[in-house]
Amino acid sequence: MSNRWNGSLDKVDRFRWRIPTSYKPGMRVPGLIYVDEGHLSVLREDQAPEQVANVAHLPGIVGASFAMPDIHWGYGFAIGGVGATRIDDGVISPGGVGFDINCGVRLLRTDLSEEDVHPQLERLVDQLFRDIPSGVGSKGALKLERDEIKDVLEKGAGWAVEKGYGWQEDLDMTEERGCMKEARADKVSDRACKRGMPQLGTLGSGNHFLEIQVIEEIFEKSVAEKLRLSKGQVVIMIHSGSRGLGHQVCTDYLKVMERAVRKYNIDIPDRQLACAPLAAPEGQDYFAAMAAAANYAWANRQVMMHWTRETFGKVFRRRPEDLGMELIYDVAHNIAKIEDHVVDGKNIRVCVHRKGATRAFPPGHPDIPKAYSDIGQPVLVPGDMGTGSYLLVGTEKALRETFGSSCHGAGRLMSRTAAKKGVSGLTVQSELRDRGIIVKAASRGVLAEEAPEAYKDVNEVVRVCHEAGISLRVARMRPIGVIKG
Amino acid sequence: MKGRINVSPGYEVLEHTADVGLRGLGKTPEELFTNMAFGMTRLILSPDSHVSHDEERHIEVDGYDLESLMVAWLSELLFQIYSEGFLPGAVQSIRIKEHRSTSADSDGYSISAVISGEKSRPEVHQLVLEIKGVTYHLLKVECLDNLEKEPDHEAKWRAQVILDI
Repeated sequence: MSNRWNGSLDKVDRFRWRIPTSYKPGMRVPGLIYVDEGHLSVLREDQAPEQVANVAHLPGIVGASFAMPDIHWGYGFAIGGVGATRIDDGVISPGGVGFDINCGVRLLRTDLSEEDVHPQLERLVDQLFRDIPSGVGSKGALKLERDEIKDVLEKGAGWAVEKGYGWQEDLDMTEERGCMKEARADKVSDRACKRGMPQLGTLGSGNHFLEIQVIEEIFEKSVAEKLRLSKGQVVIMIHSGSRGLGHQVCTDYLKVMERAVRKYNIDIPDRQLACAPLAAPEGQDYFAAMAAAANYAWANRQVMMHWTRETFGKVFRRRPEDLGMELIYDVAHNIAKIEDHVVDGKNIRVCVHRKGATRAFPPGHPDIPKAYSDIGQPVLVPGDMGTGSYLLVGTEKALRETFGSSCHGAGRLMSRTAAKKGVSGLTVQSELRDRGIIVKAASRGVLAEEAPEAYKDVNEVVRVCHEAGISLRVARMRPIGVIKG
Repeated sequence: MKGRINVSPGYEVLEHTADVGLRGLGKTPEELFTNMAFGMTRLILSPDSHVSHDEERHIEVDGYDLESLMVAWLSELLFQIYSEGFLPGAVQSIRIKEHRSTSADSDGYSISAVISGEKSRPEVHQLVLEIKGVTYHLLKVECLDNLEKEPDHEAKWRAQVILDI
């Protein structure tokens, strides 16, 4: 089934490869894949490039159908795919967002050094594991009333802060300030609400995690100084999404879109790319529901960050404020956004689908926090449990070339079942422990599935983004404590 | 997808880089849908989780064609498992109906089924996999009459889905 992809790829420059529109009838724009020449054979191992070509068929798509260097085979869009459609005559597709709407990452700083944390590490990991629910179908400590879920959906992270889960300043450091204003709770089904209500404030399972990390290397000193980050400093990364609520919103609207495709006579090469015109009621409704699910995800990460602060406060017997536990940034990497971009010299408004891709806006962009206006928007790239994660910042080149987008992670190399066959969860845990990384997971199976070997080398993915200029590498973090679902 | 890893009479699990695939067989569409439901439930529950038949639930879903009916059917079971906490133990009865008129707004097929199972109990049941959704990617529901027969199987129907995990 995973045949090699033998389509045509034209070299544009060192890191860009084009699938010409002549590759497949119906392509409205070319495909453009960011990949190092040395990794071309890996790229061709499955049908991810075909998915890049399929996305190029979407009505109203402009520029190109892009793939970031962490591209891998997904459903609908490839993971790492970016596609922008005109808002007046283009479409919106749930296949360009995915089931885990606003899966994303946030990074929290501390004033603590590795030496400060080391004696408490075991206790910290145990306590975090207790305080932040994780695992399959995990339920949270929050008890939401039926009416309250509406506020979560329409106010996002702001709801959490209003309820005392966090600080006002956190919102300034969250993409969209943690709330897409287009969200409408009445466009989210009762079933989706029911599925999401008990899960707010939970990590989930699979590749989601909470990590205590140490800054291992600084690449861009001036930017790191602005972010008040230096080598040896401890930071915390949270990777999670919209849980069952987002999954159900996607499921509900895939059915709506299937009908819309027939109603509006939209010709697409893959049913998972089912879509509706943005201007049509189906497109508007999906966008409003997707935005609501995105808001839920921001509230979710906000609540978990608040509990993380409390846990650190308990363990170190100091107030989180005195530990310098400020939010550095929170980014979404499965989302569709309405943004203004320049295409062929003209300023136009587009719907940018980022499916496993991160917004990477440059210094001075109006949509990034004022505090970062001279360094650019932080781009957070989680890696696997053993290798580490990255902090980058957005660039002008990204804004010009990729609708302001960059990579989102390492990208899977091995299927979960193959990873499980290769190694046991206990082995992964003890090997990581030998390297000074304490891991606690709700399930041993997840540990095996998420073994470092199952992923592409995040260092390489980030190097390509950096050298291609679609983001600037600032810091590399290695994990010392990991909570998995 | 890279080959089969677990062969059993009615279904098999397929590998996919980021997701997981399921292929099923059946002598009738009803048996095929039953086997796919069984296969997906087995992926979610640990092998030693025994599900009793304390409760019965009536399920109705529809779809434009058999493929979208399969997505609707499996999506409904995911909702039952993850949201209702109801674990399907067996399909007690299942009827697939084809409707005559299929306009853009109406659905061509529907399922009416009774599932027996029980409410999930953490001390007995371990859920080992969170499936986010049922995708249309590489989705197939096909009659084998005009296709190659599966070896050693009397199946007439075959299906394949990719589940996002």
